[in-house]
Amino acid sequence: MLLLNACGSSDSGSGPDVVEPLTPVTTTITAGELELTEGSQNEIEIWVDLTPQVNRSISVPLAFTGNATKDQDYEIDDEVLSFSPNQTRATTRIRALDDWLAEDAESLTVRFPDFATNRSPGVNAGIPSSVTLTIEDNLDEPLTANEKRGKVEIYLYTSASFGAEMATLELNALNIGTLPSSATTASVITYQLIQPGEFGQVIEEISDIPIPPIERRTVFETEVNLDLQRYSPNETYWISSTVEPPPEEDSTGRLPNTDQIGFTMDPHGEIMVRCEAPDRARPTETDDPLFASQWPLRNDGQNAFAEDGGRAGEDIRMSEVLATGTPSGRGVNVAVVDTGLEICHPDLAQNIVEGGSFNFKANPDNGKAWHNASASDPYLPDSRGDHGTTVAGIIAAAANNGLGIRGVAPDASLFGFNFLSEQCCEEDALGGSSESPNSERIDVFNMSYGSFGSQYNEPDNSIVRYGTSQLRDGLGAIYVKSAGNAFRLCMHFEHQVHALTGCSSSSGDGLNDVPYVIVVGALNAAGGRASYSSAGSNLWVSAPAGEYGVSDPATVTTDQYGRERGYSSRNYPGLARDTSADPFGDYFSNFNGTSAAAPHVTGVVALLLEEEPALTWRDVKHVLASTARRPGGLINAATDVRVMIGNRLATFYLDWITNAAGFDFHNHFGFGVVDVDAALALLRDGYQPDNLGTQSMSDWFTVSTDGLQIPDHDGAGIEQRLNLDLPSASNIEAIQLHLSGTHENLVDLSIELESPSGTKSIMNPVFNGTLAGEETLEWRLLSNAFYGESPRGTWTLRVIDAAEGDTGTLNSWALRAWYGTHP
Amino acid sequence: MSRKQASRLSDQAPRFHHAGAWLYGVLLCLVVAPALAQTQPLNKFTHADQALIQVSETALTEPVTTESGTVLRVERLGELIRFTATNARVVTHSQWYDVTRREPHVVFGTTDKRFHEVANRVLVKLDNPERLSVIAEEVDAVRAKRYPGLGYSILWLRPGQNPISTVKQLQSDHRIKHAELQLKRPLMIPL
Repeated sequence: MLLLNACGSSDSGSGPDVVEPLTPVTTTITAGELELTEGSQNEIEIWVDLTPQVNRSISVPLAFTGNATKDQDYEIDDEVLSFSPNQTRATTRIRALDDWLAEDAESLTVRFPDFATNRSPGVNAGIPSSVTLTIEDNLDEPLTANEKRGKVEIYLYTSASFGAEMATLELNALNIGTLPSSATTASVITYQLIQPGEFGQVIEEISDIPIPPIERRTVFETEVNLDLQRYSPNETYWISSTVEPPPEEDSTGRLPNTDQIGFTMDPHGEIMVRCEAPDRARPTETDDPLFASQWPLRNDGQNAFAEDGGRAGEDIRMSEVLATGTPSGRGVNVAVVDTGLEICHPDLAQNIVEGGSFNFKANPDNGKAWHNASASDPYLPDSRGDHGTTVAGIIAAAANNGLGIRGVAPDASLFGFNFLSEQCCEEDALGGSSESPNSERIDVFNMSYGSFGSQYNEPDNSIVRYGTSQLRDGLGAIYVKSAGNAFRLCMHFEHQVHALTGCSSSSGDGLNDVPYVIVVGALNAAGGRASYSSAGSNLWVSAPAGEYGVSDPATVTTDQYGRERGYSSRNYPGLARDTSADPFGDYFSNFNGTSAAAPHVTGVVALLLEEEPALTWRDVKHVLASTARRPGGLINAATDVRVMIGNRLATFYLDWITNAAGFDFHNHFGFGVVDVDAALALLRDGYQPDNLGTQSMSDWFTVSTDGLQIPDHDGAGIEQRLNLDLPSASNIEAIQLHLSGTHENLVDLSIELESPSGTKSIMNPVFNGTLAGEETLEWRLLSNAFYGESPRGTWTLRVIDAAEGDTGTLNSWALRAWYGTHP
Repeated sequence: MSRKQASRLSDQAPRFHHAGAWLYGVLLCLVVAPALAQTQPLNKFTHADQALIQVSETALTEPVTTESGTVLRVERLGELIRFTATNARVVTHSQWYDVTRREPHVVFGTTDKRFHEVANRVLVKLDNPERLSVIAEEVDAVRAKRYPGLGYSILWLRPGQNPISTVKQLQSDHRIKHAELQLKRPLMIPL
């Protein structure tokens, strides 16, 4: 037995060293579980116990046998366990590494080495001295080239123009898939709505409308005319349009090849195009009766007309505002840039700025103008729900008026711009116009819309850049935009990684990739990412929106008033069927999407601007980022996810990071969920507006890679470096990456950027549907993950091709930074 | 049935109500198209840092080859027009338009290698913005609006008016500092 202290003693004196005998210890090993599965994100804890307790430090190395290979099939935290004096248990963790290959199960035995030859004095192996683990394959088959080519999916979007005698139905057949579609036909049918759920006779039926093959990501437009003389006064009608063949219903229950709109005929036999206030008695109570269901404002775990409730506390934390009633958004001009806005809605009318709204369909010079429409009334003739009216209620439905709900900012001034009905003229809608409409006076623009797959969006970029620099007397307007609902939109193929990264990223909409816009993700009532909410590095914050209002809560908000109009006239459960809670059919309990998340943030911004009118647009972003909190619900994976591609590990998903400036960031949530109480507290704690320094936008720093081959199916990928010679004392406000290249199928690529401070951001997730089937890469991507860090130094770009077959090159890449000087 | 739909069905143009017939029509057109691209002067424009090539039917009567080797074709099939980009004999992009709605004015982006429909509006920057109404009248625009903060004006053209030729006309006018095509935006939808 070795009883020598190897280091001897430092006791003073001239006598011989005192040799202490070592107390022998016995080690045993156990495991929490014995089976791991690739890709499961699970880990096994391995415990080593020492007996007896001894007052010295001990190291216990572990040995490994079996056909599983370290850093190929598994990874382990510590291979040598260190025990401090008196410590009797030490733990290490083993995780299976995924490789997206089909293979047999592997085994791994973890045991103690021969301590006698391993220089572990006084340590003996006890029983058990080993554990054997099995690593099961997750039975993923590698993607084949054909699978990667994707599929066809026709999304039908209809809009209508209304003349005096004829309505023109515009059919937009958009192939959101990744393969060209085959030639097909569309049909249109119109019928009378007797009452919700009950339909009368068919009025017109038009079939065999030819639809040619549609290229991926392109739209084919055609139109049909309806003879309005066949429709009776005072009746409501629905128009249903369909492109054949019907697709298989996906997991979300969508039927994207169909669309419907509706309209109501007025007493004169013309389509109703103006808002006329309903004749209702004034309520005698002052409370907002549906407030108890507004979990985004105060989440008590209520079910909000769904089967199950949420998680208490997962809301926008506005307890102080709810208690005191201030701030309330008073004096803040908010534009709802959307499909329409029902300016006579009983719960909205109080906050509508008279003459301030604008109907983009009222221009008589426009060949598609709506007959009889009023320029100042953005009324949507479509009777099946006005998206803008639901958005407006979230922002600024009146409070304490005895009706329905309250908005986040119930005294904000509302302007409705039905820009989406015209699909034109962003200068007018987003702040470039001083008359017809006067959008220059808007403080906050809510943009609950998006587009499919666009790598270019320069016109909007210049307008929002102008708005942030010039509006609000130079303080800058605030643009709040929905991130997108494409997390589960696997229009190319489905892969297990999509459960972490999403099928299609928020970068599919070019306007999300500019720093002048606050991009908002959606949360559900349990405090997790809403199932549909697009993820990406361009998110700024998140806000509640909910799920579908069936099993889990959605958002309760205003709807077109009346039982025969609005979303509530459709076949929805919940409030639409509850005549006691909503006696007139003015509200809707199934509103969701990042469309519902953005207006919650818009309302919050209105509160902040009332509290401190001197805030610049950058202040607003800074305050939101500084005070956002991590949501409390479950997230997809609580660790980074790495996969063995070829012989190298590649990271495809990052858990929450804390960057070098101390900001938390996650591609699913941005900086987190907005927190009103915290934001107001920050403002009241001596926050100095306009103290972030002058914002500078750097030139592009470009690296020409001249056809650099991207290694196929290789986790090492391309790793490139670029030095940004920018002021070291500055603080990043956004980083934009431009990539140029070609690839036989860009969907294979994962793109990661690492800052000089070591912060990583996945700017394009692997197998991103946005790029599926594309071969030309000319893309500007934005990341907010580096906010507050110094831009100066060496940046690292990693481009990884994660699938076998299909190859390509990177021709150049470039970075530019927006930065200021933050206190 | 609508008047418009009735006119569709009574038209003498080929009708393709079945995928097989469509395929036959497409194949027929590809067979009769010239096998080799012709040399033809290309009308070029710039938009958002991207060079655009005019490919509307009126400008492109024969297939042409771009500098990067992409062959651009236009084919008419009854009430439809198809624009096709081919590289190394592989169709890299194509786009159909229903010409009963409007005559599409189409350009090909040399960077994104896609066809884009031109919007019926034109962006102009004038030496003297007060002259906008005069300019609008001269080009027969239906409407004009100044955006002083943005530093430009927009001219809206009549349905059927060709924005490409209007831009060319404006670009040759010494009173106009800049005239630019506007591309039709991707469809924006509520989320």
